[in-house]
Amino acid sequence: MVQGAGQSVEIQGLSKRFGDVVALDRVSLTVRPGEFMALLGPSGSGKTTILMAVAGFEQADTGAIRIGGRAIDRLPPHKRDIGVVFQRYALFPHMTVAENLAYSLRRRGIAAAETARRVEEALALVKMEGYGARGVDQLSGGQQQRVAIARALIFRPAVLLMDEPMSALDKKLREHMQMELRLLHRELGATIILVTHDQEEALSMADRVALLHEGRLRQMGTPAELYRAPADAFVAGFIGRNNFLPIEAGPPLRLRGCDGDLVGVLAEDSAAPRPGDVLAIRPEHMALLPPEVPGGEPCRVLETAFGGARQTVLVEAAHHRITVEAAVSDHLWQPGQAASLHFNPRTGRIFPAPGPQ
Amino acid sequence: MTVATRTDHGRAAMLLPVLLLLALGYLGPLGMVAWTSLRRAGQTSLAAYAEILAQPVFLDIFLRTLTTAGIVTLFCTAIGYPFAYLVATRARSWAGLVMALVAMPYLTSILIRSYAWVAILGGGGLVNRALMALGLIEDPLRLVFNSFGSYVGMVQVLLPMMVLPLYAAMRRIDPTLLRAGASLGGGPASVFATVFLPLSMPGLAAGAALVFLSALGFYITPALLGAPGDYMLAQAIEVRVTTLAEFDVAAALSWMLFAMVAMLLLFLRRWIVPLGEEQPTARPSRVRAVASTAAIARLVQRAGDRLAPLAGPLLWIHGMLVLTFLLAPMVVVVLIAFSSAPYLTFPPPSYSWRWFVAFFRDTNWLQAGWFSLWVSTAAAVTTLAIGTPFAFALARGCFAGRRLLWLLAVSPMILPHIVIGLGLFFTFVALGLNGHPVSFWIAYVVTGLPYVVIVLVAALGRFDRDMERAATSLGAAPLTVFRTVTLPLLAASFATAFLFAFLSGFDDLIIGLFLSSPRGTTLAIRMWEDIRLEISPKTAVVGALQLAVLLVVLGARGLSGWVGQLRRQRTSS
Repeated sequence: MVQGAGQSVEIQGLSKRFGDVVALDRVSLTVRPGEFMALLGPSGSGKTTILMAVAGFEQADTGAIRIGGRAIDRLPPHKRDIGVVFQRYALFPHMTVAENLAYSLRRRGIAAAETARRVEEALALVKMEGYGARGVDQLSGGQQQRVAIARALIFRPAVLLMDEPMSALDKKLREHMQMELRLLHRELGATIILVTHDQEEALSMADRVALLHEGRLRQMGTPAELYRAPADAFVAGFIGRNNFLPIEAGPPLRLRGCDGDLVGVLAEDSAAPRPGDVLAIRPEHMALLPPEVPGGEPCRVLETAFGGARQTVLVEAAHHRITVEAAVSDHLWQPGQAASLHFNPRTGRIFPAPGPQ
Repeated sequence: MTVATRTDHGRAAMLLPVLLLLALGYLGPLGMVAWTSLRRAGQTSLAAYAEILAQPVFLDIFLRTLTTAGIVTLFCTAIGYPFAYLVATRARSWAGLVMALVAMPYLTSILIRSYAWVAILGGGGLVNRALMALGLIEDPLRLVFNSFGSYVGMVQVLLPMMVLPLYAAMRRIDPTLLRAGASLGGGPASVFATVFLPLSMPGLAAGAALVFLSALGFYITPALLGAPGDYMLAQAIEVRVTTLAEFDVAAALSWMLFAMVAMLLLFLRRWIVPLGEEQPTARPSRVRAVASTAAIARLVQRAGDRLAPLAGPLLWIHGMLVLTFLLAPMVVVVLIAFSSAPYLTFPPPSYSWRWFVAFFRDTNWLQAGWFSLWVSTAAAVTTLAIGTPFAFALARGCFAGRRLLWLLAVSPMILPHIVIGLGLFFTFVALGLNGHPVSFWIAYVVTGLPYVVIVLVAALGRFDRDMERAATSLGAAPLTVFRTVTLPLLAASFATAFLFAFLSGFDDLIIGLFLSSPRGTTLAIRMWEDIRLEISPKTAVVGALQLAVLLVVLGARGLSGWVGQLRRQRTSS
């Protein structure tokens, strides 16, 4: 299946209320042609509402949506030429796999021979050759998802929307399908908008991630940007893991209950510390060393969890509970042990007021 | 091994009472019908069948029965489908109330509803008066006591049977499938034609099968509203028993009707109310795929897409008309009950309590009412007592013949009651019990059983057995588990089952006609005789009382649900 390059999607000032609930609050974002964009956020953040507005199933109260520069707000869903992969796939149970795939081509009046050829092509694309005559309920979850993706792509839509497409799959299969979808995206050059609440999925798959919270766009950028330079405490807490430690004084930075100051811990582009702010530091940006090593904060191990190459250790230092990712060498930490906690230089960031998770 | 044997014994004990009942009150009587149909002048012969096949009048009756049932099914489909579609897709927030209103007429007796149509369609009735007042006609149209009246009455009586399964099937259709269709380029009409319609077919098939099979054995409505000469099969049977005393011919006719319905039932059983969670699903089919490629089909769908915006208002108008049609007879009955006129006329000249007073002063009616009440209650209690273990064994056991047993227990609901009534008549005459309250009791347990089995098996299918396992793990013995967990959780289902079982006996006329004697006359028979002889508003009084009781019962249930909800909200906040 040769795919024309995907189209851009421009969303401008989209707002939507359901009764008293603000689902979307003036969200603007642009997806570039051929880009893989993830809309990430907890449930109720408005990400699905954006998707439904683009697909035409929800009408936004204000704002405009353009695809390839063309305004689509007044087009009914069936004239938008947008492929959608639904959360539980929404395959038609009364049709075979091939009939499901042919559905969009029939609606467009494409000749039978051409339809048959493209159905075969689409089956080959998702490695489902020979499954055309099967009923939908004879397929496994992974196979159903492949068919759903093929069905959404077969009519060469300008944009492909995916609504939590991996949530029904188990972990192993999910990781496999994520990789396949990446490959497919590279092969076809389609514009893809993926809605997910799973940050790992968003970070590993998308070119760029738009992080939403309570109907607002909190930050948009590449996965690395979101991880390295979160715009606020919410983003810092939502992407990856973070410890938030209250600041007693600064500059120079000093944590509540701790004696030493933490010169050199802050990233270069971090804000300056002020009392009442929090220091965000990721578990992987700290080291746990034996208690006799000088220069660290003395602490005690509370609990540990083994994770292969790394050991997650919960420690208590000056009445703060801090999660540390310790590299596993020969030594495994045990609850009750004393240790010395070291912060890696240029990794911490300062945020006003702690962000709720 | 010992365990297996013990559960087998347990299961046999749970199934046995119902099996005994069905043997005595259902299979035995059907056998009696077959036996009687083969006996003439003390000898075994096929004379009765030969007589039927030789007379063209019987062929006419068979054909009339089939075409009437077919036409009624078509009308129910044409009226019921858009209505169910409206309720299931566009009026979802009202769906609970609307479906309760649809089920309401189903809970009141066919006799009373048919009676109301006389008042609505008769020469001086509501429709004719309205048409004359509008100046559309000068003389009243003949709308009743002909096939038109018969069709109107039968469609009104059977429409809920079409709407309820259709609605259930439509609610099971995942709305995202329709969105998927739109995202793939299907307009509203083509998504309806290619996705919604095929997926609603199981419901349509179930509804059509139920309506058609029920219509085949219809007696009251055609007898009351139809033309005097236009017999359907059930009327022909009744006349042969009560006026002509041609028992073998009646039995042969019954047996043929029974065989026809039973064969259709077996053939259509996949579509009719399925056991537990086994839902019939639409399968991929070649035919439809071919049809939808045709350019003409696409053109029609395009045109349909253009017209789709009109569908909404039309559906709502249709919905209002259907609700009016379903509920009008009940409103009319209540108004007639308060009539001051000495005879049936509608609208009443003025309103009074005179017919209520007359009803409560008439010992004949009171006795009949009392008899109906206690015999139906006794039957419903018995049905619940023996039907509950039966339903548990069916829902939770996994043994060969389980489906067949379910079908057998449910079949008295669909098979013509005139045949069952005739069989019971022969049986009880042979046992010297005819007219004895016991005969009514057995008959109404048989007719109530299907409702108890359907309601309880469905409820048990939905029931989360982990609840019981949790109770057991917390130290409750089996009977305690049943009393403290199963019973409270299924209380609403038990109440529904009891109500339906009771009403199936209380509203019965056909079986009662065969069993009645000076020793036992039900209220329905009293009403029937009254309607045939003088048509006084007394029947309407019974209808109004029954409706009032039903509303109180349903209202109390709704209220208790509401109070419970309120209390839960209180405690959670």
